[in-house]
Amino acid sequence: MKMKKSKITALILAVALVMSGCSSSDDKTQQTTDTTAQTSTNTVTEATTVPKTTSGDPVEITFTYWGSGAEKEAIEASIATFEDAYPNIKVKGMHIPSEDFLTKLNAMIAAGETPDISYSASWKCQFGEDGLIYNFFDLAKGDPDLSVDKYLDTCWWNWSPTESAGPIMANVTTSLMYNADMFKEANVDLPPTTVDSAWSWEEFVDVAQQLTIDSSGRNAKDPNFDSNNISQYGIMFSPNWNVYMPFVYSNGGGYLNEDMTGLGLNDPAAAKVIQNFADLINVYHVAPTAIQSNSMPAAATALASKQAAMYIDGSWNHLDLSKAGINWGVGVLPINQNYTTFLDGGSLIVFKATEHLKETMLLYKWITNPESSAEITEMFRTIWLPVQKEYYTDAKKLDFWASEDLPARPTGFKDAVVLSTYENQVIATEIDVKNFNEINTLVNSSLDQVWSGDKTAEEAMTEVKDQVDSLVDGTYSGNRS
Amino acid sequence: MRWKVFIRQFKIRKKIHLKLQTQLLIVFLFMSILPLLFASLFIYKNIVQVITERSENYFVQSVQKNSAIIDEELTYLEEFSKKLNIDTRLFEIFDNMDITNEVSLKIANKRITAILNGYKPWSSNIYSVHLVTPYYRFGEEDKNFYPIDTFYNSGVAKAALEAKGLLVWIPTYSYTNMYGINNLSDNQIEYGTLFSAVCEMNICDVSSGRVRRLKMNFENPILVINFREDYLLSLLKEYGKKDLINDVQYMVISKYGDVICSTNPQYGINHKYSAEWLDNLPKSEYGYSIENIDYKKSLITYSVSDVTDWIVVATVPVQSLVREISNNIRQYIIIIMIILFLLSIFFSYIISNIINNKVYHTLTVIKDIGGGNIGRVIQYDDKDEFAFFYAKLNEMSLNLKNLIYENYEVKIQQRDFEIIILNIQLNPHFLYNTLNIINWICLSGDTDKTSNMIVNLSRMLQYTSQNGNQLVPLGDDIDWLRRYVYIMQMRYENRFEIKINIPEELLKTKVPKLFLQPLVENTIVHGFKKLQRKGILEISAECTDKERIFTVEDNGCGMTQQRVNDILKFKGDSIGIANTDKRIKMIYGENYGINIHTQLEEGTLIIVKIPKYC
Repeated sequence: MKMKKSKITALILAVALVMSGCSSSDDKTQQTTDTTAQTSTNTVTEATTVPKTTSGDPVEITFTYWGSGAEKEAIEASIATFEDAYPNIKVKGMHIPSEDFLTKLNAMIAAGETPDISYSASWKCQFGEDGLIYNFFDLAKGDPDLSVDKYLDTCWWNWSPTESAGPIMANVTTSLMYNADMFKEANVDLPPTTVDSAWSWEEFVDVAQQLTIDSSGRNAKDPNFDSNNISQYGIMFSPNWNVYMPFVYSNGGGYLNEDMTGLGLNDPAAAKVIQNFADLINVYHVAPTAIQSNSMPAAATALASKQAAMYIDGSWNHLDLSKAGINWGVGVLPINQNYTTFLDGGSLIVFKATEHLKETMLLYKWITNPESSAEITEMFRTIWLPVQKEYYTDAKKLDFWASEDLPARPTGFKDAVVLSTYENQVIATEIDVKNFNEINTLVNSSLDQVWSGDKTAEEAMTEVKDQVDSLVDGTYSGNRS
Repeated sequence: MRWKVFIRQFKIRKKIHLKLQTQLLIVFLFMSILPLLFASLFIYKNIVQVITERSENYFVQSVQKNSAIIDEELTYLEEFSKKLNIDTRLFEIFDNMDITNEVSLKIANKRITAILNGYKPWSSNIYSVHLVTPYYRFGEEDKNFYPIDTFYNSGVAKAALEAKGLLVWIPTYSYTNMYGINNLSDNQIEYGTLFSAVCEMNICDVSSGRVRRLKMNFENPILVINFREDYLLSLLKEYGKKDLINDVQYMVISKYGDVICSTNPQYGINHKYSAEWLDNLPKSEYGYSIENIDYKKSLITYSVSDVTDWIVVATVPVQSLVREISNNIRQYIIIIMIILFLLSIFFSYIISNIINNKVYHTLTVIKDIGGGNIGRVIQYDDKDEFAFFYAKLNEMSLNLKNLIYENYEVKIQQRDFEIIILNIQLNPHFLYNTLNIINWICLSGDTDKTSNMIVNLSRMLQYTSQNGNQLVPLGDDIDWLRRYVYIMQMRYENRFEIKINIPEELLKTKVPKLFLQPLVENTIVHGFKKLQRKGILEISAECTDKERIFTVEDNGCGMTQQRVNDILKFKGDSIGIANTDKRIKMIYGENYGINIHTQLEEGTLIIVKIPKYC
């Protein structure tokens, strides 16, 4: 007992000494960290491993975000470590479900409770145009930590050539995921992991057919295949732009038409791709219909329960797959010509209403730095891909988050997800196309008729084109998307 | 086995001889620490009782608050389900829905999802809300799913249909068990353990002023509102953080004892809790009970929820309620024990020192006595128990001295006398002289004289050689003395004459054997040695009340006072008189003995005083 007490006392004394030491040299510490930040290129890591104290009274900043349970936990833990590193900054983290996010955020802004910093989707560019948020280029000026050169070129949420909501905070990409055991059971080769060996669409459909099995055990290539009683689907995909757009780009199509005056999805090159996906459901019966998938678990779980063999959707599903404890893998998308894809993701926006810009920017750097805390690092090792160039170009840094020894990184991950994307990326559709949110809502509704087989892609897209064209206002980059 | 070891140890311990100081210390420790322990045990028991009583209130309030908080979080769902029933938009969506058309369902789903989300508060902790129909699940897409073929046979759907429109709470359940999903396990899905509120919907439209009910070809939609078990747990944990003590275990159970969630990992969702108080518990009831859980006395408080009928239960080990106090008491006891221990050491040292001093002080005397100086007396001034002890010791010492004297010294002296008497008997000088005289008488032809001499000598030898009693009849001794004087007269050719005047009655009294011989010899050998006139030796005796007085008087040449002293103190050539004196004193005591009165050239009077009867 006694021993413990004396130890505790010693500890308290030591802490008190350190604290008094810190507070007396507060301004100095601040200055030195600033100067080191200017001299070193690796400052993100160094600056965060050395606890800094900011001078002045304790301040509270509000941070709104969305995300799954795992993401929420990571952000909460990361906020806690941030608060430990900066004892005088208190972060009020508010997790808002993504479906309510914009509504709630607008309600907060209307009530004068604008957060200091927030997750944001494509609506952020409108916020920028409305002057609600800081131009990142202004914030980055004179701060080498936020130097524009450090980030990938394709990941900027700009609302004009000189104004930006900032780079993506953490990337995701479109990914082909699969249950390797099901391939083994069907005696089918695993999906290729390099762009050069990627399947053609026909090869892909063939594999999907072999992996689609009815309740009698016949696969979809069998003439007696019963498409009304399918127990295992070859492929599931999310019927969203992030799934079909890489195929559209690779096929020479675009979301917008050539001169960016109207929708481009009705063009044959794009419509063909969408029709291909719809045919997976309605022609080949290798993917579930909307009604069928309505009573099925989400795709990652469907892979775990062997209700689907392959799944094309965002790379955020990797975490769920690794958590499900199954033998899963990743492959390149079945695009054998002109492989084109993109990195995508939300960004952190800083509201002009903030009264604590300096502290807010510290949090900005903390969250976007893959090495700021164990929890954030874990996110970059499971769901997110970094945005800083060095994490792709520096082999060591690449290994830090993408090493295939990491539990949530399956064999072939570097080739199939990182390299294929890094080397063949364009700006993501939602980042580039102006008014994307409104346009896509219309497109999505219209596509429902395509997925149900009621209309061909070309018909549906041509129908919706008139409505969409009035919203089309080109791209932020000025190039066709 | 253990008691054997104990006894063995005890036996070993018994052999150990404890110092007085240690014994005192043990006594002190027993006397001080035992009552202390009893007192503190008593106080502790009382405190525990008082605190437990006080805590009952506190924790009853605590579970009530907790229950209220959970109610607050859940109570709006009743309203939710009721409002949803009369939502005109919902009515119209269902009214216009073509359930065979996928696109129609999808559009309906988007709108229904928006309506459901609209009813959900922003800060809601609902995991998912769905309207489940036999043909489609309306609501959030990415959350949990309901297998169509098993949903209507599940406990969730049955409970909803049985309640006919009332909101029913389903305690925490395993998702895969509930819906009979066998190709997944609960830990593969984030909705593995859920608890839910379910309600069969009766969607109608009252906006027009009259009630329009939805005509359904299928079963009514079932509203399923799902919560993850962690949510309730986090509520409990968050609330538990504010508690006074940190090892309170909270638990929510249904009234049938099904565990809905518990901060104690021992109670999983398949656990069935049972307790007496759980039977027949009406709504809004609260209370407490004290039970033994895992051999630990625990205070259990509970409160029944108004909304869900579920019971919030708090389990507090009584031990942890009083931990601080028991720690304090323990500390006090330890401190007091240390103080008592030190005091005990101090006092036992002091007292044992005092006692030791009393003992060691006299020890030198005892040692001295042991060393032979028997008869030494211990000087002790106090009047305590030791005084009596030492008095007895002194008495013993004196008795010992007497005993030793009697048994040892007297025996030695007796041997001395025997040696002396033997010396007298066998004095070779006397024999030689006597035999020489006999020879001369014999040569002169006086046979009568010779015969007399020989007879006398033989009688003398016979008498002296009779061993045995120290004391002999005076008559015998006088008889012997006459023979001795006869021989001496022969030897000294009648140069002296002897008169013996002894009263008849004394002749039978007992006297030390041959006690007069040295006196007579001294007179004849020394007193008459250089005497010119005829020596007269007069032996007489008289008897007073207490003593017999013998006198040996002569008219010899007397002695110097120096010689008298020498004779009486074993100095010079004549030790016979001193020996006789010593014998008399030894036999009769210091009051008796020999006195010598002498006058040079006139004579010597030797007086022998012995007691009258002995």
